[in-house]
Amino acid sequence: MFQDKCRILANEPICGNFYRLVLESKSIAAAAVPGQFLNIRVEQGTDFLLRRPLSIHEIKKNSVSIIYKTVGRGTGKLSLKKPKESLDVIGPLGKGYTLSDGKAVLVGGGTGVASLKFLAADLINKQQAAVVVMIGARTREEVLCGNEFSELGCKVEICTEDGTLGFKGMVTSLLKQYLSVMGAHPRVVYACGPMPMLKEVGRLTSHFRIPCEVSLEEHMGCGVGACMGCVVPARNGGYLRVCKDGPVFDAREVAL
Amino acid sequence: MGDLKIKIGDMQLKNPVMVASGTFGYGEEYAQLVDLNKLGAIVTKSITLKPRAGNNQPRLWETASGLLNSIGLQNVGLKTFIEEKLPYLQKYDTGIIVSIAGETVDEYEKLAQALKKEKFDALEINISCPNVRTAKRMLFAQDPELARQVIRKVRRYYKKTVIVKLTPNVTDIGLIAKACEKAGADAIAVVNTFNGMAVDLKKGVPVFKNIVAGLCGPAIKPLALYKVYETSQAVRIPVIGMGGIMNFHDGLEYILCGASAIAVGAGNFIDPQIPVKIIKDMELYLRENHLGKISRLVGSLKC
Ligand SMILES: Cc1cc2nc3c(=O)[nH]c(=O)nc-3n(C[C@H](O)[C@H](O)[C@H](O)COP(=O)(O)OP(=O)(O)OC[C@H]3O[C@@H](n4cnc5c(N)ncnc54)[C@H](O)[C@@H]3O)c2cc1C
Ligand SMILES: Cc1cc2nc3c(=O)[nH]c(=O)nc-3n(C[C@H](O)[C@H](O)[C@H](O)COP(=O)(O)O)c2cc1C
Ligand code: FES
Repeated sequence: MFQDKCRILANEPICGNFYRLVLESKSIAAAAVPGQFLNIRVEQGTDFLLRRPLSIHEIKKNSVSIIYKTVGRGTGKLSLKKPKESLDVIGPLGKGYTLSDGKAVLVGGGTGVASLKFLAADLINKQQAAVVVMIGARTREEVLCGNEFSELGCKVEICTEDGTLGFKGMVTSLLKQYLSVMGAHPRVVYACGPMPMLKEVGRLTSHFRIPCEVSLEEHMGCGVGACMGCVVPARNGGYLRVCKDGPVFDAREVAL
Repeated sequence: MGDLKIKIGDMQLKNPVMVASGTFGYGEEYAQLVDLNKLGAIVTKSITLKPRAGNNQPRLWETASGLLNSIGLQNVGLKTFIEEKLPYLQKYDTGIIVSIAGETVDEYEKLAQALKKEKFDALEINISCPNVRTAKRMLFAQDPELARQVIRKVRRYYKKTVIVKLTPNVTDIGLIAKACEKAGADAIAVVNTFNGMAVDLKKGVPVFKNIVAGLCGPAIKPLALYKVYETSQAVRIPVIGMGGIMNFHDGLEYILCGASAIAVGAGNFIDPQIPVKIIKDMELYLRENHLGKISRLVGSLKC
């Protein structure tokens, strides 16, 4: 965990309201594992604006990139930042995915797809895993990172709710079809996306008895496990911190 | 060299800058980012007799220059605190202030009894958490008689420095502070969070399940500053000021208004370096202005 002033190497729109931010940081890049996130201070000065948690999308030797959607004040301001400006970043934070070998299915919805790219790269490069990625989006323009996954050597399945690209419907319907085919059993399913999607992925994997890890989001204060602000209910009672015990959880650990 | 040392009750601190209860966990969470040895004191998350699960989500809501929280005192409980959290902090060269919270006078008494032999510098009695419902929905810090009862009981067992943390959600904080002083408190910490709420317009419901939550951050600074001023006018014992402190100038305003020490709360979330920066700037300020001791500035507001 570091607190670094990171120079912005790039901050550009990729499609719709989605942006890619590339930050210079050797130390964060060297320490990060897939599923971890950065807590970014968007505004300097004494103005009070909480840091924004954003997942790591990709690492290079000297840089870390993220993909974000502008949804409010913080991400809106972030999108106005120019290369060469710098941002105060704390990271890498949280507990990432457990890498497994064999066949893995990655299910992503919305910006959730972003963190799965880093995961897919490590699964393929470090574990020689066979990776199938299912990308869900509302419409064709919002399908994120399809080519990036193909270039890594993943099998890519695309799903749009309006049917403008790939399978028409929810990404979870595609997952259900996939898991129902005899012999298709992956060793593990990883999922990142909106809560209803994660709920359904959790239900399906439990039904098919396949281990599953999900990445969760919650409003954060400190981002380092100190304030107890970002909790989700644990299956066995009590609460778990998304920033420290997660954001990646075994789907059986949390009450989705 | 500016002299930042201060004394509160029997507690000697190397500087008057603390981190506020509940915003800095048990210290270890921030140890990779902040040199804990530099801090005047760490006030640990309020602990209760038994571990507490805390409130439902959501627990946090960002507001204009502020933050609403409804944590509900999630904490590890007395036993784990003594066995795991306290030994960790004892390795550092910083003041340790242990915050305790209870729902009954009896619980405060038991906590004080259990902690009296442990090694730390001061006990902070949190009688002002807005996020736990007691039967009457009245906080101990909202009634001078209730406050007195708690402090008296704690005092029976705990002989070292006792700080009482008060709520700003009262008409006359001076009255409550005086009652605490009389009951044997060594210092008063002001303020805990202000009562507030937020609305989820899409659903037409309150954001927080408890409806009420606690507001902190720069949004409350002018309000908190006045509470600190009122408190320091009412009592002779030291006051620890907090509420929206983001930099040295904020802290200095509190000191001029009567605070002997200051604490950074939600500011830690924005930048964990704020307390350390304040200490550095404070020293520089004393040196540049040839002021000698920080304690000379306490309550030096010219009215
Ligand atoms: C671990 C983690 C990883 C994330 N990764 C990504 C990512 O890779 N790409 C991406 O686009 N988004 C990601 N998010 C969501 C992102 O943090 C929010 O979209 C962002 O904080 C919204 O800020 P805002 O000021 O634009 O929105 P506002 O609605 O104005 O924000 C108000 C407050 O609510 C908080 N908030 C709002 N929505 C969320 C949310 N979904 N999760 C957590 N806090 C929220 C904000 O941080 C802020 O404190 C992630 C969230 C978490 C917890
Ligand atoms: C997330 C959070 C948790 C808190 N928990 C406690 C607590 O357990 N005990 C306590 O006495 N005060 C608690 N507080 C109040 C702070 O210690 C402090 O009094 C208040 O936030 C005002 O200071 P600030 O504006 O600098 O944050 C908490 C505040 C926040 C934001
Ligand atoms: S954000 Fe503070 S504990 Fe997770």
